[in-house]
Order: sequence, then C-alpha cells, then structure tokens
Amino acid sequence: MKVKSSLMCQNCGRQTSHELHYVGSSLHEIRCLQCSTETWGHHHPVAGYVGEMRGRIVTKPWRVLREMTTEPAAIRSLLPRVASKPVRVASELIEILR
Amino acid sequence: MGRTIAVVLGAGSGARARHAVNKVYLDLDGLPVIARAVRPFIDHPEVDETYVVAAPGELGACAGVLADAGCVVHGILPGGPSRHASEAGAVEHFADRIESGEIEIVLIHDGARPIYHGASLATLVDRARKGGGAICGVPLNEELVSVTDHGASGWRSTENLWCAQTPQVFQAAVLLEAFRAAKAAGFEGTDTASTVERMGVPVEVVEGDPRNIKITFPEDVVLAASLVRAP
Repeated sequence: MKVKSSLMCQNCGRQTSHELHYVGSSLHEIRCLQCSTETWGHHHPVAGYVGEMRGRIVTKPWRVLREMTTEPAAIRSLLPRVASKPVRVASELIEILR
Repeated sequence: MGRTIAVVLGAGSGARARHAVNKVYLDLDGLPVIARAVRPFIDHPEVDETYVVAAPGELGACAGVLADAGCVVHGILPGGPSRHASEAGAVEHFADRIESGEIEIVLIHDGARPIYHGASLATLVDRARKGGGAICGVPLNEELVSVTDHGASGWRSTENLWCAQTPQVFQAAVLLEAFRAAKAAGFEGTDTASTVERMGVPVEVVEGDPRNIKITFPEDVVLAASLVRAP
C-alpha cells in the first residue's frame, strides 16, 4: 500500500510531499516526491512480512471470536472476506516481490 | 480539585498534496499516530477528559480513525490555521468551564508524538498545580556552532539548553488568561509554554523521555515505527 503525506525533507530543506510504501503493516520505504531521496524502513520486507503473517495466523482465531462476540452483524461479511483472502495475500506478496 | 482535561493537537497541515494524508493518520505498526498519541491519556487516572483537535475538514475522518482504534474521546474540536490558533481555540472552547472553576488543569499534547507513555504525567500535573505550568523536556546533548559565510565562527555551550517536548501542563485559568493576552498583543507562540511564559508565569521543566519524538522528518516515521515495536 502506498500513502502520500507531507514531511520535512532534509535535502529540499522544506516540507514536501512524500510517498510511504507499506508492506502489510510494515513501513518499507519513504520517498520524497520532489527530490526522490529515499528513507528505508524495513530492509528485509520478505522476512518482515513472514513474521507479521505468522502473528496474523496465530491471533486469527481470537480475532474472529472477538469480532463474532462484539459485532455479531459482522458475521455476514465473514464469508466474502474469507473468500477474498487468498487474493489479498497474493497481492501483498506481489507488492513485496516487485 | 477541579477536572483535568487533555487536548491532543492533530490539526497539522500534513496533507498539502492531492490524495495525501495528514501525518497524524499515518500507520505505525497497525495503529495510527494520532491514536497512539491519544491512548496514554484516555485511561490515565490524572486525566478526566480527553479531546482531540483536528483540521476542520478532517473532523469526521478523525472520529472514524479513533473509533476504529478503540480510542473513546470526549470530543473532537476544529483546529485553526496554526498550532497557536488551534490551542487558543481549544482553550477558548472551555472558557466557561475554566472560569467557573470546573476545569482546573489543561494538558496539551502534540498529536505527532506517538511514543509518549504517560510516565511523567502525575509529576507534570502536580508541578503545574503548584507553580502554574510544567512541561516535558530533555537536555540538549549536542555541540552547537555558529556558521557564517567564512565557516565556523564560534562554538556555543549547550549547558542549560533543553529540547521542549509535550505534554505541556498548565493551570487552566493561567492558560486562558495567557491566550487572551496573546490575542490582544498579536503574539503567536511556537508552543503552549512560550505563550504562558510571556505572562511571567514560571514553567517548570520535568525531564522527559528522549524517545518521545515528534514526527517531522521521514526518518522520524521509521524510528517511531521501530520504537512502537520495541518491547
């Protein structure tokens, strides 16, 4: 996922628009859109993603259980989300490996 | 004793580019910066009410982000064109409750400081209650040098120099008077303490945490992301 935000650029000496590249919830790279200076977040996105995925899988049953008990209406959207999960995970992987 | 309220400033102009998001809504390991900045105050025993100041066009978005993060605040107030204006607007919003004595202490925190854990809060509130105001700060452990066109022209001692942080905590009546006086004089402070200090009110500095960084540069986002992951 890519997000734009204004941050202070050391190279430009002023606040400029930056593009932040997230892989899952890990910050991978930030790039100044004026001078293209790059700031690196997680240097090993695949390792970071694998670690994050492990955490997501381990906590999944608890998160689903909590959602079912606190937001019963959300159960209706559970099946479409489960069905689209492989596609979403695949798109995250493609983004990392790109 | 009157009530203590926390005001977290999140109205910064971080979204100048098209489709850009304000830096306080950037994700830090699964939770937005503003939610991490607000969280220490929500359940803190020293704080009775927590408010967030958001840009006028982001009030709904801010409410949604906080709700999604499970942060229940007492209100979201519209900010102004500058930090000073946002602070002044927030303090004036509570003027009636401050003048009646219902609100005794006002705490201002920067929404772009997501690493504060609330450890110094009790001390800050206590010092503000006794003296007028108290802020977090860390000693400046840097070498300073004056630079001219001809190069370095003199080294400056950093003894007694500290970096001001937030939270900044004040007696509510003092703060209201300071912002009204600043408005009358056309003064615009760089932070809350500077507005109070010009009134001659002593502001005590309590040693804070160097990790309580403000997100300004891209490197700060990276550092903050690693700090929130740290055990």
